[in-house]
Amino acid sequence: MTELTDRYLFAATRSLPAAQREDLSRDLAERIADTIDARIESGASTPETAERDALVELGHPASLAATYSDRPLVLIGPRYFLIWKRLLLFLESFVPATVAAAAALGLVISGGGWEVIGAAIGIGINVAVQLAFWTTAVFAMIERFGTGTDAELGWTPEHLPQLPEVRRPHRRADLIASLVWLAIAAGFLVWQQFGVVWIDGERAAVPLLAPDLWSFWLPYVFALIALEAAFAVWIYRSDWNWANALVNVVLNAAFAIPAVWLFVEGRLVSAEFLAVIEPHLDADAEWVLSVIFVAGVVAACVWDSIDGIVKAARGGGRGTLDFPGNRSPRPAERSTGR
Amino acid sequence: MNPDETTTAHLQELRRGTVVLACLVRLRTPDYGYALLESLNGLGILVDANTLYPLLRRLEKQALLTSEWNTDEARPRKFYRTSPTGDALAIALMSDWRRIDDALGGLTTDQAGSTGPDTTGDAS
Repeated sequence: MTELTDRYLFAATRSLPAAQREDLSRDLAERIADTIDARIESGASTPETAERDALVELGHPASLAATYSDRPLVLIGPRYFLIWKRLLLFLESFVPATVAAAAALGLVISGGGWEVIGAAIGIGINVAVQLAFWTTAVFAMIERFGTGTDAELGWTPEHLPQLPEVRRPHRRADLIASLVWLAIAAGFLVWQQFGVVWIDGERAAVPLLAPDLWSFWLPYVFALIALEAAFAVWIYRSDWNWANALVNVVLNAAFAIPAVWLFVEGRLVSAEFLAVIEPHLDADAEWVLSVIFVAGVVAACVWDSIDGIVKAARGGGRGTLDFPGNRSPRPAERSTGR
Repeated sequence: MNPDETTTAHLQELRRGTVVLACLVRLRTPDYGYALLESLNGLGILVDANTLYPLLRRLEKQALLTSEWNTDEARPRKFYRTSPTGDALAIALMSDWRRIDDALGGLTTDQAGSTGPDTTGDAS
């Protein structure tokens, strides 16, 4: 046995607990010596090169040691891989974006300018990386020290996803909710004209929105509400698909862009209303309320747009996307029965 | 994966359990790692050193083999011997091996006897 073999034994056993080190070292020494002898005997190596060749044959000491020990060579094995993947995708799908948006809102409220966008992206990336790291670290620990069985993973047949044809059990509820909401919005636009401020229990004739908007923008909004209602019915009768999702984005933009623009220009809220609330608010509070209003309008419209896109991407209930596994029957097939 | 690799992988899988059985039977007479490797390969039970050495340790840990260091010769060697538990397992594995062999034999005989689904006319 020479220095090379000793170094190999040291490399192969150093990552093991001390108790196993001696034992494996002896086993390996026997194997290496026998391999060297066999190589010389068979003429595969000369006596000078036999040791080196034998060690090459054994391969990397760390992977050789791994074949002798029962420790896993994977970070997350097949038992936990799918749960890890599902949880990670679920968390990454909204946590970084939510934290970034919240941070951006906070920075704008505290007076940040355009640089807020860069800061928010940085925060979002940081959160995404941290999330991935800690989720993976926890699963790697479970892989090594956990003793979970399939039953403990909490899967039962009831967790199976619904078949596509019953994927839209809420579409009637969705329609009613949309129409009620639009009716309330339209009613509010009319009602606010006659005053939203009470002074000593008396309703003062102070409209919330600037009255000169009635010349164009308020009728525009009413038209938009009518279109939204028609669109909600259309979605109820057809389904989400890419075209409908695009229309949804356009409708949202048609509301959000003028609303934010009018607000920023100072044309949205009536002067009388501002005069009434001005004494109760300092400049900071006004700034905060303004930011929250703009962010709220943008967030609501962006959320609704994304919701439509997600539903379209999932293929709707009638399979506008023919992805494998979408076996929802077409209406004609459904009537013939199966 | 090309067809050759597929074949190799399936052959390895088929042989994996038989190596355990061969070790348990062969080590009723004590022997050390390299001699066992040589003799198994000589008998036509093809096994790789990287498979055999770790396997011996694993079987020892499962108390199917016992081991003893022989220091009589110039070089100390670990001699393995099948334990009574290992012997019982070897008998069980061997009877199952014969059963599978019979079953596969029956399967191939059946196939030779039948003429295939297209021509039997037995549409059940």
